[in-house]
Amino acid sequence: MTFAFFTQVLVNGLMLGMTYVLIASGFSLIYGIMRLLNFAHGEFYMLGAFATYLLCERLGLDYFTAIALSMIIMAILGVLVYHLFFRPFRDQHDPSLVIALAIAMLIGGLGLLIFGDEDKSVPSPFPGVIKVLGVTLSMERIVVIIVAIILMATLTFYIKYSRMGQAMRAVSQDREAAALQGIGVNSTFTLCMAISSALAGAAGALLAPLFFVNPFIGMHAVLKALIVVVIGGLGSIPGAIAGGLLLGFVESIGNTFLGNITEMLGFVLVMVVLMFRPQGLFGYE
Amino acid sequence: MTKVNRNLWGMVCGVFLCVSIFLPVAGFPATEKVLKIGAIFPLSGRAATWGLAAQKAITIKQEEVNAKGGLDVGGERYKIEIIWEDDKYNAAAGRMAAEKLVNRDRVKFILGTQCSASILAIQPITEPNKILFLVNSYAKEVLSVDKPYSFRMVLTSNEVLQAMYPWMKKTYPQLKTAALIEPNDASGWSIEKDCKRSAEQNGYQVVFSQFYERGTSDFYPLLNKLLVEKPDFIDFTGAPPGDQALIVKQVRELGYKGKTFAGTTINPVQFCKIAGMENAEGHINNTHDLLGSYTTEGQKKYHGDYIAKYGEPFDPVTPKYHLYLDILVQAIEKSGSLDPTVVKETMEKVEDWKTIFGPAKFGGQDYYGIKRQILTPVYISEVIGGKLVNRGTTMPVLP
Repeated sequence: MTFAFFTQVLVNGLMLGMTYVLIASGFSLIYGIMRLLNFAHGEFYMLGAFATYLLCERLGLDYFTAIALSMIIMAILGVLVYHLFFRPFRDQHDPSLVIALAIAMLIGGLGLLIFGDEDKSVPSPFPGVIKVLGVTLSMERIVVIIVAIILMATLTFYIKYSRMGQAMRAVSQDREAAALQGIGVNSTFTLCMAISSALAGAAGALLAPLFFVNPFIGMHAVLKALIVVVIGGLGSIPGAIAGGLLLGFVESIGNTFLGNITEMLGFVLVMVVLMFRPQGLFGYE
Repeated sequence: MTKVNRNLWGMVCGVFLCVSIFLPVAGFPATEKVLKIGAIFPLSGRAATWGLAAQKAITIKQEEVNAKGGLDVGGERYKIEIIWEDDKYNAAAGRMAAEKLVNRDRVKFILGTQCSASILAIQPITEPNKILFLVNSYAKEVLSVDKPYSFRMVLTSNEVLQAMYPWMKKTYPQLKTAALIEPNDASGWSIEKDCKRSAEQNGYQVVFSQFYERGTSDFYPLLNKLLVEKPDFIDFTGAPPGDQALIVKQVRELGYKGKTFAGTTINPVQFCKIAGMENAEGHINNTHDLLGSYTTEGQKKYHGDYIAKYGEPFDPVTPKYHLYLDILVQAIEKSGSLDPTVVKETMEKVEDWKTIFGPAKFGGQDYYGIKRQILTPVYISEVIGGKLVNRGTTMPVLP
């Protein structure tokens, strides 16, 4: 095993980790602000991938326009779902959890009815690979990494420095105090749902050309997102980034050296983190 | 919104969601004699591709029989009603579905799932109740002497590979080493054993074998390790078609130049779209182009029926599932009885079943300990220029 081999392992981990970051960031954002484990998040990811497929394949739009439109469509859908289903159960933990599961099942079932069970593909806008020092990097994965970094940086800056971002953090810390300061809790939640759904849409759009698209991809995605946010800290965007990258590296290294038991490593990691830091790596009590 | 309104709204939402998920299907007029047949397949979840393919093929046969006035059972006509159940590729759901079919719907015949774990959970219900269970999954233990009411209606990886590996040896004598990638579950473990045995029997050295979790879409880490062993070909027979295409795409991106191989059916259009036309070139598989060479009249008719019902494009994964109801209908009509034991005995005796693939028979006495494995011709194809090219057909010879 050579230097190039080990470098490839790390690059694979980075690429895998960035896919997890993309999916988990929106999931974590919703929990952070709304205290809602949105199990339907994976289905928004699936719908984002299908939206990109339809926009590129059926309407012939270019890939980046399709990404932007997928994000907008998912944001609108997210707002609708919030107002129709989540808002009536705001502050009720158990009912909103069941509703989130039901919405996930409903969207998954409707996806199957509308799109069919066949795996579909989005033509790669950036085909081919480049080799650097014996390490293979596919162009489409490089694009995913770059766009994911841009999205995460934008989200982090938005939440930290923008007026609405500050409002989100205020609502996240103390809803009643925020409301007393004149912050609209409902409008903040609406915005949070829109951003989170748009992120899921972006993840689906970005990963669609790499993998395939079918109505079942959301289920696996949301499971990974849950592992990532528990490791990183529920509700923390830096935690989602750290958790996603950590899981990506662990799985890449595990696949290389441990083989068949790799899938368990994510859960082992969750247990270890919970034992020593129950709030997650970047979470707070 | 008040608490009362919220609760009311919650109930409305709940009812709407339940109704939309569990909407019932229409049945037959009460005057017609109806034979209810249970069908348990993965109709949702990641393995739904297989379950829905089976549903399409079985429905074509069901409609064909009903259009002719129904099944002829000793001079009486019975329309076929299929009661579909979803096992979600899951043993617990499969068992629950079987309990319902046997105890509530009182079916005597069940067409079964592609999930080995589900079948193994269902058999303790079907066998003591003498329910004829026509199964699909690949696990060896699904067929055994103590399960006389279970018949396997598709060729498993064992039968397919017993035919494909000798063909491969003859066609590509320069290949010496193999790598195996299979899903990490009962089906994958069983198929990996079949692949390993077939490879070794044909003189190949297995230099790499690893399982992956279903749902995996990034195979780079696994493939990076595989490439170190420099295998001449990679066999991923147990992987679902979409995963196969992803493996082909990603292993080519990583620079692999050897052959790719899978003893399963694929949809070439879909496969090439995911894998990429260049990457898919030369992929060896067990798919039969129903409009190509080696095509029987029955296959041509099935192709026509499929297009008439479901439209283009044709799904080449579906024809193998046509055998289920086709053989059950023949067995019931030959035996002139709806008693599962009588039908079972007919299935044991008849040696020449007429199927869309040509003559078929049940075998496997030596290998499984009981003659319950259907044996039909195995078709071998390669993907060339984005299309299937039939390379040959051969009957499986069980070890």
